[in-house]
Formats: sequence, structure tokens, C-alpha cells
Amino acid sequence: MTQPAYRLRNEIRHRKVGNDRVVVRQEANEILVLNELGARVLEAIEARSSMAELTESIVEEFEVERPKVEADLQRHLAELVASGVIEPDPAAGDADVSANH
Amino acid sequence: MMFGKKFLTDPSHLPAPESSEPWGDQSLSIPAPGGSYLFTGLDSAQVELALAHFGPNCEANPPTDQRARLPTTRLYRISADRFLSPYTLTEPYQADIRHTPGLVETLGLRMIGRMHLSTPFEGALWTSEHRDPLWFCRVVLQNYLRLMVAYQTFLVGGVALHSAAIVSEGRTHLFLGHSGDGKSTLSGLSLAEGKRVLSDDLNALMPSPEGFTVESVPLSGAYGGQYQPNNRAPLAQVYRLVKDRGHRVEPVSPAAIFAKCLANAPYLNSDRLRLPELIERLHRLLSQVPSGSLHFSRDPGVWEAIRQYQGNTP
Repeated sequence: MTQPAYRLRNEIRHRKVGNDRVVVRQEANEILVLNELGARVLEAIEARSSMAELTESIVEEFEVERPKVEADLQRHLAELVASGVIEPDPAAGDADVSANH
Repeated sequence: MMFGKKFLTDPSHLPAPESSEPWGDQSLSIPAPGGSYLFTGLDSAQVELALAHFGPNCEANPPTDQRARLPTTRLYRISADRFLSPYTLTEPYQADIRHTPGLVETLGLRMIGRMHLSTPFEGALWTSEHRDPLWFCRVVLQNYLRLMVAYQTFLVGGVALHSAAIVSEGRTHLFLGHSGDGKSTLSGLSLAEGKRVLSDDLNALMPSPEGFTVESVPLSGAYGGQYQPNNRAPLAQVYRLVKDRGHRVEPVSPAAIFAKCLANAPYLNSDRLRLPELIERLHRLLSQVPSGSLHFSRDPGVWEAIRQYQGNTP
């Protein structure tokens, strides 16, 4: 399995609710709701699956074109980093999401 | 920032019960969800102020045999010069709170509180106030009670939520919202339609054989009147509030109403040690009752919209 490029920040607590995922940023005392795709991204990171594996599963499950899925995942990753939910994983070295495509 | 730095002249030196002196030898029980809260170590002026503020259901110097197992807080003296002037605060008042496994501490305007989360609950409250009703009742006791209600409710399997709780046909409809979201406006509209308001501020959701029962708490809101013990009704439905131009109830996603509940669970939602249990408890609660998003205006007729939604909800 390819090493994931991101990890959840230590302070994050989250729970699946319906198809979505509710995320608590404890340091900022902030609560976020991730939609189904955001939830899948978070679950993949936590399970240490690569983005390539996640891309593959979404392409198969929803029968959408790979470039669109890749673009959506990149956007969600950027948003999750910007909102302080995930961070680059130093253990992943130079590996990044694009390297897993 | 160091715990208490906003409020104390020397936050590195906190008082301890063994080296503190109680205000007096009086006691007072204040009715609250799940029973009464006992305060000891008061002087007669403090008892008088609290009785006037919290109402006739409080009891001064309850018999000793009734005190056993009550959540108890002992009041201690502390010199006013230990506190910084309240007029030097540069931001809206928010007490400092510190959590450890068996202990919650709070430090705010003219008060230091320490709560041991044991059974029965034991607390200590240091204050410099004993004659001014505004400071002693509205600032010191009310802020301590808010925290105590939140933790005591949590300890017995419930959760306290910022909300308006309105009883219709014997069941409680709970409307979640922070200040300014319309809880008091909706409560006023509901009273005008003949409904009973438990509280438009903070309510305790207590576990019961039927699911959850909602009880008002002994704190002041704009509506709900004087606190009445056992003022409770089973939980029927949970809503988030949206100010709008008319009345309607729309479906709300499970995650959105869950997030709203979590955001309105004061103190516990910022307690890292208890957050995982709070999350699971709210999830259980919301799995037992329907939810919706109430859009409402200041016009009459909001309960007709709620009735219609309930009629269309399986």
C-alpha cells in the first residue's frame, strides 16, 4: 500500500452521522460538517489508504470519469488542510497525493 | 494564556479548602434537574439573596437527613483584592475552565469554582461577594450553576443544551440556537399561542425509560418564569432555528442537526476528556426523535406550521 501523504491532526474528533461526517476541531472549538465525499476522504486518510485507492473506488462506485474524481479529491484535500482538519504526514516523505495517482 | 490570568492578581496561587474559611454556617438547597443542589458555608445575607433570586422552591437550612447524597458545594471567603477589576476586561466575559479526569475548575469574575466529579458531586466555590444581589446571584452563583448543571446532567446520563423548550400537547419541542437565533422570540410567540415554555435559555435532557425528558434549569431566561422543580415533559422533536419571512419546517440532514446539538452543549463540547462520550450520547439522543429546521418570522401561526410538518412526518 502506498503511504498516505496526509494524516488527521491530533486534536480532531469526528463521527459519521448519516452519510456525512461531523468533525470537531477542539483547539479552535469549531464544528464542521463534511459531505459524503469529504467524509470518504477523511476515512481514507484515517485508514491509511492512498488517494489512488480512493479514486479507484469512487470511479467504480459512481461510474464517473477519473479526471473529475481526481480534481474533486484534490479540492477536498486542500479544503481539509486549510480548515485545519488534516496535515501533511512527515512519515510519508516526499510522497504526495499526485504521486499516488 | 495561564489559567485565571484574566481574573486574578496572582493566578499562580489558587486557594485550597483546607486553608480557607467558609462565609458562615448556613445552607441552602436549590431545586435542579435530577434533584436539588446543596450549598453550604453561606452567611445569612447570601441565603437571603439566593432565596429572593431563585424563588420559594429553594430551602434554607434543609434537615441534615435530606442533605445526604445531594450534589454539594461549599462556599468560602476570598478577599476582593485577589481579583482584578472586572472593568479591565478587554473582551466579552467568558470564564476560564480547566478540565482534568476527576475535576473541573472555573475561574471568572469574583469567583473560583472547583468541582469534583464524584458521586455524590462535591464542589468548592470561593467568592468575595455576599451583599450585592447582582454580583452574588447573577454573576457568581448563576455562572457556577450553569457549569454545575451541565456537568451534573452529564454525570447522570443526560445533556444540557442551549435551547428553547416549549411544551405542546404534553411533549417538548426543543429549538436549538445561540444568542440571537430567536429562542426568546419563538418562546414569546408560543406563549401567545397558549404553549408552556420550560426555558428559552438552557434545558436539561435527562434519560428516562421513554427516552429523554426535558427539564428547565434554575437559571434566568427571558421566558419560563420562576424555576419550578419537576417542570418537565418528554422530548418529542428537535429543531434548528432559522429566522425567515414566514413559518415552515423543512427536513434537516442528520449531520446538520447533530452539529447544531454539539455546538449548543455548553462546556462539555470543549472538554476534551468528555467529548467522545458527549458525541455518542447526542447521537443516541437524535436517533430516538425526529428533527427539522424551523423557519419562522415574528408573525403568529408558527405552531400551525409545526403541526403540519408533524402530520407529514412518518
